[in-house]
Amino acid sequence: MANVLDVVKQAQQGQAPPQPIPQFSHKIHAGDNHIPCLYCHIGADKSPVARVPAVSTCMGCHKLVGTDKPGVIMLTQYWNRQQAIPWVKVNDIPDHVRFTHERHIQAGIACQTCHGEIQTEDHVKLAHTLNMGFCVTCHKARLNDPVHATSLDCATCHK
Amino acid sequence: MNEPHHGISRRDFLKLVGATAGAATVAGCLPPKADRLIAYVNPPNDDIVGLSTWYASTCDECPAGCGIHVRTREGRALKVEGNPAHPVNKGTLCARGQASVQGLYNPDRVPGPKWKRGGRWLDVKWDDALWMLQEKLVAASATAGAIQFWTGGETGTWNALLDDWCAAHGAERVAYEPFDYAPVKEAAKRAFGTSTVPIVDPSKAKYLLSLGADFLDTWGMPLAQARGYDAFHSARGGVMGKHVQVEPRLSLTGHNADEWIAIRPGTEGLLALGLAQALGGGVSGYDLARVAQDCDIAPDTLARLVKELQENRPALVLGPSTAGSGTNATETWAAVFLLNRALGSVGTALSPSPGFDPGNTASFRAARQAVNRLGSGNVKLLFVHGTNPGYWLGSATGFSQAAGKADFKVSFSPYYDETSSLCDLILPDHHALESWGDAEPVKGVRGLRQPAMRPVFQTRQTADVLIGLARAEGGAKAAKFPDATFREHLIRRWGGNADVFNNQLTQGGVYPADLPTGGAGGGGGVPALVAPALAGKGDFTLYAYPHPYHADGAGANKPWLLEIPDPVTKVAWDHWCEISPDAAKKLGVDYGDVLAIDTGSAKVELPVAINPLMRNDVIAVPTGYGHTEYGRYAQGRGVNLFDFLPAAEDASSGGRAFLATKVEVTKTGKPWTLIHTGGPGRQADRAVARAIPLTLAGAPAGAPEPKGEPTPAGSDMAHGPAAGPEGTPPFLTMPTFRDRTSQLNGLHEKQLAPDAYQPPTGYNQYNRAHHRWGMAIDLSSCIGCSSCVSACYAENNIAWVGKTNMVRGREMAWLRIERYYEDVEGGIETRFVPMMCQQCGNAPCETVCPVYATYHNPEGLNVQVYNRCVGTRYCSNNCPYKVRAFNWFDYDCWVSPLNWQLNPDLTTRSKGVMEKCTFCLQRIREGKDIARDQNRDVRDGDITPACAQGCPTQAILFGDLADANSRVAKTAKDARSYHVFADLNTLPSITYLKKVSRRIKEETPVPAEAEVEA
Repeated sequence: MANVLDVVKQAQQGQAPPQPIPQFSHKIHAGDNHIPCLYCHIGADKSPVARVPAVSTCMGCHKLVGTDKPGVIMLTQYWNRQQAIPWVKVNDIPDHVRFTHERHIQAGIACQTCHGEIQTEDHVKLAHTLNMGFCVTCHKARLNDPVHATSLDCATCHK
Repeated sequence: MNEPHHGISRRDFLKLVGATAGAATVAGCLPPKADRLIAYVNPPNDDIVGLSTWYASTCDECPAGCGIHVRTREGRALKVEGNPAHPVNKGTLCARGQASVQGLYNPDRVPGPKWKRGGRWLDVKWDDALWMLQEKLVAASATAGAIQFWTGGETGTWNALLDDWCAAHGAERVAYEPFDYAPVKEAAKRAFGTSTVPIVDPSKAKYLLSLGADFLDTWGMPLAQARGYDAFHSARGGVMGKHVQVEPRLSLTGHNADEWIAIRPGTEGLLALGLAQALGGGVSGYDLARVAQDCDIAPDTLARLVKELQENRPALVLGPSTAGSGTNATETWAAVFLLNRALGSVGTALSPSPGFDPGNTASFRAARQAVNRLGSGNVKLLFVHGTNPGYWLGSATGFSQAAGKADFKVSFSPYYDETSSLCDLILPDHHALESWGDAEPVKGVRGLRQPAMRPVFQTRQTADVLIGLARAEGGAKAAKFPDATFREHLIRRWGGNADVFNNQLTQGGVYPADLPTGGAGGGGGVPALVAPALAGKGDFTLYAYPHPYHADGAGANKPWLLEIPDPVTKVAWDHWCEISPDAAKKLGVDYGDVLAIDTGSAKVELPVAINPLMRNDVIAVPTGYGHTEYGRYAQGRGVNLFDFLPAAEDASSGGRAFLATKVEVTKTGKPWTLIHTGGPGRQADRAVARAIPLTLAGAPAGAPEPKGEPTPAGSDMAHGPAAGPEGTPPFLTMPTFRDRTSQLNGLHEKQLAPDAYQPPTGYNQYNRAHHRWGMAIDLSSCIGCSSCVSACYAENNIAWVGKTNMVRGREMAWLRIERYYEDVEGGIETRFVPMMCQQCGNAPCETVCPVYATYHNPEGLNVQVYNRCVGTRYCSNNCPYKVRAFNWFDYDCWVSPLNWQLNPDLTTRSKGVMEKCTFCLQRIREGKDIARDQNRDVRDGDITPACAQGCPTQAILFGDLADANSRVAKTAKDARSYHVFADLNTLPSITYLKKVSRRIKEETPVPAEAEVEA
C-alpha cells in the first residue's frame, strides 16, 4: 500500500484541472505553431523557476493574433483590467525540495521528460507525479553520464 | 507474544485512512484548494523570478553611513550585506545593519496616515491629511517662529532640503540625537580647527590607549575602526600592537584589550594631561603622583604606561564613550587630542580632517532651549522627523509637556514611538530601504540611497511630502522647489544627468577607495580641567553606556537584536544593571537579583548582571530600553535611562553629560529571571578557546619567509610560518571524504589516528564531488560583536523564541558567540569563540540518527534533511559542540509582514524538527550555479556564508579544503590552528586559530587526551 500522498498524486496523474481561460492550448502554441517553450517560459534556462508568462507577454502577440477568439477575448479582458490570470498549478514540486529548471534544461533534458507530450495537449495534464522516486529514477540512470553526471546526494535537492 | 489481533490493527487502520483519503481525492480530481500560479501582468525589467536582484544603497541605522547591498527576491528585500567597495565598511556589516530588514517589515509600523481624534488613531487618506496640514502650514508660516521642525542628525541632500524648507516657512529647525558627539566636535574645533569627529585608524598606530571609547561597538564608525583594529591587533606576521583600555566598566571593546585598567569615572582627561606632562607635551601641574591618586590608578601602572607610550610611537589615544562623558567632556577630549599630538598620531592614526560628520545635531543645551520656546506657547505647529525627543527628552527637558502647548503636532515617524504618540497627525515616512537619499558621513564619501523595494505600507517619503506642500502653496515657496519629487531633486544635486546618476546608483554613490585622512592646524592649548559635577548622593556612580545593538533605543523594536545576547553580559530580552563581583558580595546579591537604584529624585529597579571587571563604586546600565511606545517588542522592557538620568550638560559644548549622578544602590530581595546564555564563563580545562603567547605567534615582520609553503599572495589570513615553531603542535588532522574510493582517500587513511573510528563505507559510492567545504576562524581577529549571529538569523530563517522559551534553553541560533574568561597575569583575559556546527568528518550525530535524517554528504557537509527528521533529538544529545537546535514549537515569530523577509531558498522549519548550521548550503548551491553558468569551476572566494560575509574583522574564512591553494586550506595549516575537542576524533571541518595573547607566557597545557597525533 502506497502512502496517502502517493495515492493523491497518482489520482491526479493524467488529470487536467479546469483553467481560468479554458481555450488556452499548448497544442496550438507549442505543437501546431512550433513556438519554442522558452519563448514564453523565459526563466527555464536561466533560473530555478521556468516562469509562467506575464500577461504582457501574451498580449505581445494577441494584440493582433486571433483577437476574435473567445479565449483571446478573455485574455484581453484580463489585460484591460491589468489583472493577473489565476492559472491553476498542475505540476507541483513537494515541499522541502529545491528544483532548478536551469540546470536540467542546460543539461539537455527535454521539457517533455517531466511534463509529458505537452505539445499535443489542449489542456495541461499532470504527466508525472514528480515525487522523489520519479526524480531519483532518472538521477540513478545518469549517475555515470560522462558529461552531465547526476548526484544522489540528498542535499542536491533537499533544502 | 504472538497474540492474535482482535479487530483492526494499527497498520490496517492507517491503510484504510489512506485509501479513504485517496478515494475522496479521486472523486474531486484535485484537492479543493488548488494552488494558483500568479504571474506578473507587466514584468519588471530587472527582476528574474527565482534569482536574487541586488541594489546598492546606504545604511541608515547609525550615522556612519556604511555602503550596503540589499538582496531582493521577487520584489522583496530579504537581506542586507556590506558593499565591498565602500570605504567605511568594505563589505562588512554590523548586527544593527543586518537587522534593518526587521525595521522595514516591523509589524508595528504606522501603516498609513493617521489622525488622532478623541485619543484614538483614525485612518485618514493622504490627500485629506495633506489638505488639513496645508491649511495649518499656511496659517503658521505667516508668523516667524511659529513652526518648530525637529529632525535627526542628517547629512547630504535631505539635510540641505530640510534647511531650505525651514527657511522658506520661517520654521526653526532642531536636529537632535542623544549621542551627538558635541564634546568631541567642540574639542576638535579647539585643537584642530575642524568641527567633525576625527577618523580613527588603529592600523596606523603601534599602541592604542582608549580611555573608555567603545570604538568596536558604538563609538564613531565602528566597522571602519574594527577593520583597522584587526590589522593593528591580530598579530599578522608576529607583530601585534598593544591595546590598553582604561574605563570604569569592562566593555566589549575592553574585552579585546591586552590590558584593562579601572579608572574613576570622569577623570580620563586628568589622566591624559598627566601622561602628556610625563611625555613632555608642554603641560604642567599634572604630575603623575597626583593623577594616580585622582584617577585611582596605581602609580607604577601609570609609570609603565608612560614608558610604553614613549617606546611605541605613534600611539593613538581615545577619550570616553558618548554616554560615558561628564560635565567636563570637552576638556577631556581636548586633553586627549593634546596627548595624541604629543604621541605623533595626529594626521595618521587620528585624522581630524576631513573627519567623520555624524550630522549637524544641535547640542542638548540647544535642544533644551528649543523645548523652552516650544513650551512658551508661541509655537503653533510642530513637526518631528527622524528623531524621538519624546523618548530622549521626555522628562529630561519636559518635551512631553511642552509639546502639548503646540496647536498641531505632526510626526513623520514610520513607527508609533514616544513622540508620535504626542502628535495629532502621523504622516509615516518610508523606511530607509524604501527611500531615496544620500549620506556623506565623511567629506568626499558620498553614499546614495535608493529604494530596494516598493513601500510595504501606505507610506510616503517625507521629502516628497515637504516638496509637495511647498509647491502647493505656490509663489516664492514653490519657486524654491522646482523639482516635483525628491528623486528629481536628488538627481539635480548629483549633477543633473540621469544616466550618470543611474550609474552612480549601481555603485551606491561616489567615494574614494579608502577613507580620506589628514591632519589639521594646531592650537588649542592646555584645557582647564575640572572634576565632573555629580548630582545625587550614594556610594555608586551611575555609568551609562550605549547598548551595542539598541544604541540610543532605535534598535529596541527588532526581535533579533533582543534575542541575540549582549556580547558582554550574555543577557537577552531584559534590561539589566552591572556591578562588580565585590560590590555584589557586599550588597549580598547574586546574578538576577533586583537592585533598587536611587538618584535621590528618582528610583528604578533593575536585575543585576555581574561584570567581572568593574570598579566597585560604579553601577553600569545600558541605554536603549524602557520604551513606553515603539511597538510590541520594545515596550515595557526596563528603564528609560534618558529619563532617569538628571539633565546635566557638558559646560563647554552643551552636549548631554550622561555621567551625571551618584546613586544609592540597595537590595530589594525581589527575584528576577534574567536570561544568561554565557554559561559559567570558564572553560574548566576543556580547551575550547585556546591561545598562544605573542612570542610564539610567528616570525616578526621583515623576517625571512620560513621554508615550507609560501604565504598566499593577497591573503589576509596568512598568519605566521607554515611550519609551527618549536612548542606548537604539528599540522592538524584534516578531515577529508568518508568515501574510501575517492581520490583523497589515501590522505584520509594516513591522517586518521590508527585506533580511530573508521567511518562506514558503501553509501557514498556515487560520490563524484571534488569539494570539501571548510572554515577557518581566527580567534585573534574575533571581537565578539555578534554581527555573524544576526547575519545567520537573517539568512537562514531562524526563529526567535522570546524570553520564556530562552529561559528553557530553546534558543534556535545556529551560531553563538561563546565567551570565556581566562585567568592570566594581571587579571582576566576574554576569548570569544564563534561556535556553530563543525561539519565533522566523523560526526557523532550521524551515527545515532534512526532515520538517516542527518548524514554526511560527499562535499564534507553534515546535512540535515528536514522532512526526514522525526525529532528524536538523539543527534543533539550526541553532539559534543551542542550546536543543534530543536523546534519545540511552530514559533509564531514571523508576524506579518515580518514573514516577507523569509529566504525562499531554504525551508522554514516546523515543529518537531532538528536544525543546525548548513554552511549556508543555499549559498554554496548558488555559487556552484553561477560557476556552471560561466562554464568554469568554483573559485576560491566565490562562496561566502552569511556569517563570514558580514564579519567586521573577517575573522571567518570559508572555502574548499580539497583545493590545496585555497586560502582556507592554507590557513588551516597555520601554526596556530587547532580543532575544538580534537580528542573526540570528530574531524571537524572548522579550524580555529588560537588567539594570540601577550598576557600569557606559555600555552595553557591541554589535557593529554585532547591532543591527537596526526
